[in-house]
Amino acid sequence: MAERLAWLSLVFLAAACGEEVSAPGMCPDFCPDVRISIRDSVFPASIVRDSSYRGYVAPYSAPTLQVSNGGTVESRGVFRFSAFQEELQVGSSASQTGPVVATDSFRLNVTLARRTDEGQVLELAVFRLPADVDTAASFGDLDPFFQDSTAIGILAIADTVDDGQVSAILPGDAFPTLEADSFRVGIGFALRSAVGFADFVTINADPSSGSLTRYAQVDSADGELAARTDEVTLSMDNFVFPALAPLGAAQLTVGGAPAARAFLRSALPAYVVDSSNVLRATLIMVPSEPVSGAPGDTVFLIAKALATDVGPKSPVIEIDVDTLSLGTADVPVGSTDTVRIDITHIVRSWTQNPDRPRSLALVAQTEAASAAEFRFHSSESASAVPVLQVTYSPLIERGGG
Amino acid sequence: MRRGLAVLVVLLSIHPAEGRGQNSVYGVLGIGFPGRPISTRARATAGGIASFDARSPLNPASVAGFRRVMVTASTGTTLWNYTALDSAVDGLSQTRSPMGLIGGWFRGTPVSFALSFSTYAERTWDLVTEDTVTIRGESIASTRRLKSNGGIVDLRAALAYRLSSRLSLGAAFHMLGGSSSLTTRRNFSSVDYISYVESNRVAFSGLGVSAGLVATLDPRLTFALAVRSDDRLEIEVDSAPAGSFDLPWSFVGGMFIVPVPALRFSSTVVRQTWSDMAGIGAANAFDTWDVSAGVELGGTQGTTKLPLSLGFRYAQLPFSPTTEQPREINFTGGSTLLMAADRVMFDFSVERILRRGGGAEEWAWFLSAALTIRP
Repeated sequence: MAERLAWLSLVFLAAACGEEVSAPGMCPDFCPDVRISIRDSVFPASIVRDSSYRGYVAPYSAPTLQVSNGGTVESRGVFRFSAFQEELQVGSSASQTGPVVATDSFRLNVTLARRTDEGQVLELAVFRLPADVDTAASFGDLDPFFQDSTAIGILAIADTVDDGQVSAILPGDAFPTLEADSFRVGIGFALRSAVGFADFVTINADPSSGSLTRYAQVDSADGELAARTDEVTLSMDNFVFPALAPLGAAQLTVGGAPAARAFLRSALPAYVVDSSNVLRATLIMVPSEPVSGAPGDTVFLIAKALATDVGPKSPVIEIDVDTLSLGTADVPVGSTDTVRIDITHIVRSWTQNPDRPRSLALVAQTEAASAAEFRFHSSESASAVPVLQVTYSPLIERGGG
Repeated sequence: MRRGLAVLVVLLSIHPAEGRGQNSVYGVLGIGFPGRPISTRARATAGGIASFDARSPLNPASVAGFRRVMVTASTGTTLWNYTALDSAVDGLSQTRSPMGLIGGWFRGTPVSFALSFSTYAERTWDLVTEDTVTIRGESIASTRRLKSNGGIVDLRAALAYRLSSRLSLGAAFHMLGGSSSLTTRRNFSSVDYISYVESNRVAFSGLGVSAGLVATLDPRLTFALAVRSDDRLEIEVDSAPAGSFDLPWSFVGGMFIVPVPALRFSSTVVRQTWSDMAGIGAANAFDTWDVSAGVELGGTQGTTKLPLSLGFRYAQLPFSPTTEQPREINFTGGSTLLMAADRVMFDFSVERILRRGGGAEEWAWFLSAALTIRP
């Protein structure tokens, strides 16, 4: 009997063992003496020793190139294709070839990545460029070739087309010096009929990103002419635009092509970085001039932490964030509005990794893929220096016990 | 059965560092909710017999009652609800192991000993508050969660000397220890603000001594007296000193009346000088009186085998958010089952508790059970 009672009691106690101690706090009377304060401050001299450098990515290395007009910058596309064959196969074996007697036409295929979101037809004039055009050619060097006399076709992009492959037919005499040029061709694009931009995929390793097909008549062995095609792919791509005004002494820049990066060093007080919980940190920058670039384009700025601060070659690091907007800002071309970037994750990483330099880099999302460039006042500016606004909670002050 | 009970006792005994007592809305104040160093048997009498009970680490002289080795451990479950500041909270519960003890005597000598742990203060709570903060011109809802898990444990080593069948003296050395992990979490309704968690470990340490006597003036009347002095409670937060506070003196007096063997009255009064701790945790601190009285019926030869214990207690609580000192009233009952040729004791008690004052009112049940093995 006693043993049964004992076990019964134990079972009863076990059944009551569920723990639930979470309750709404009846503050301040029945709350522990834990004081949490939240402060938000703009630190006027929190960015120091800032600088910017250009040349990280060249436009011919970027995954896209931009053709634009109508804004502060006109940019033109430059393609050079690999050489066509001197003779084309006419028989069943590869050794049975014949010379090209006549070229009927060319078909130009390019891959559109992005375009002005205006729902308008974009017409790009196609020009014949020197076959030996290379990446060193500047806008001024190539400008003489963007004339009516060298226009060889129109690449039309319908208002319903946002991306994908677009084509143009070029006449058979588009490249009259083809044989003299060792069967190589260079072409250029310029946006003529509208204001805006068109970005083209130019991944050289992907033949589908750009190709030129030659439709030719070939002399076969039996004296008959045979229709043949010969396709070549991109061997060089680039885009050119007039050089922007030199950077002022109290200016920093991000973006453009070749790509520029800005480096900013923090001078936040230690009581914020080391002795507080940073809830939000915002980098505030004031443009020193309207954002340059094609109408409708944007500069997508990304703030990145530095693994070590060794000047222009400082390696940047990626910090995983669960909020897409963290560390980025979308700045439209032509804007003069103050730009704010949330860099909470970077400032918190300084606290969590004391060895990490308290510096950051501003980079464009896809560097050198656009002429768009963001210039802003540096810490040397007399008018509007970059600053950090930080919302933070000092470490908890605990009352006795 | 006996093997199972023995295993349970051992399991209850091997976690002295986690020994904690009942919790309360008043537990967030001061150093926490004061524990009661009494056994489950004493709880059944509301603490009336605590100053005589060898298994209650209250009066070291009571250790003289050990004439054989025994080990005991208890567990307790609190179910409580309260109202404070016009808000009501119910459905709270917590189970802890508030006390354990091993005692015995040095064969052939009048000296007995006991080693025990008990709750000195319970510091477990989990509070969630919601408010709205204005940051950068925006009103943002915020949830703050303050969580504490731990307590202050009293480890006692006691020796008692039986001078005669009528008088026993005892002394004990107390070592206070323990810690609580404090977690502060704050979330915001806006994704623009990062939530944060801050964790601290608060450690406590202190020393104390106690002494007492149990005097039997008449076979039907026994008195007990004890006094305890603790040094300062040293507090460290994340291993850095964070202050120290004077711990209270404790004065204990008890009376045990046995008109007939089957009817035993007992009463214990405890006075503690908690007011020295005023200001800790921004709470008001008060000296306290703790008066308990109980009766045990049966359980002796010629009566019922199952004794019945009843008790009543009135106590003052030491910490309050206001100048009003909270009070506590307990109604208790319980019994003891003897098994395995009296080598195993199973004590259980039920307490109904009302606490009131300082802007809150709390109702609680406290269910306690203890296993004692006397090999």
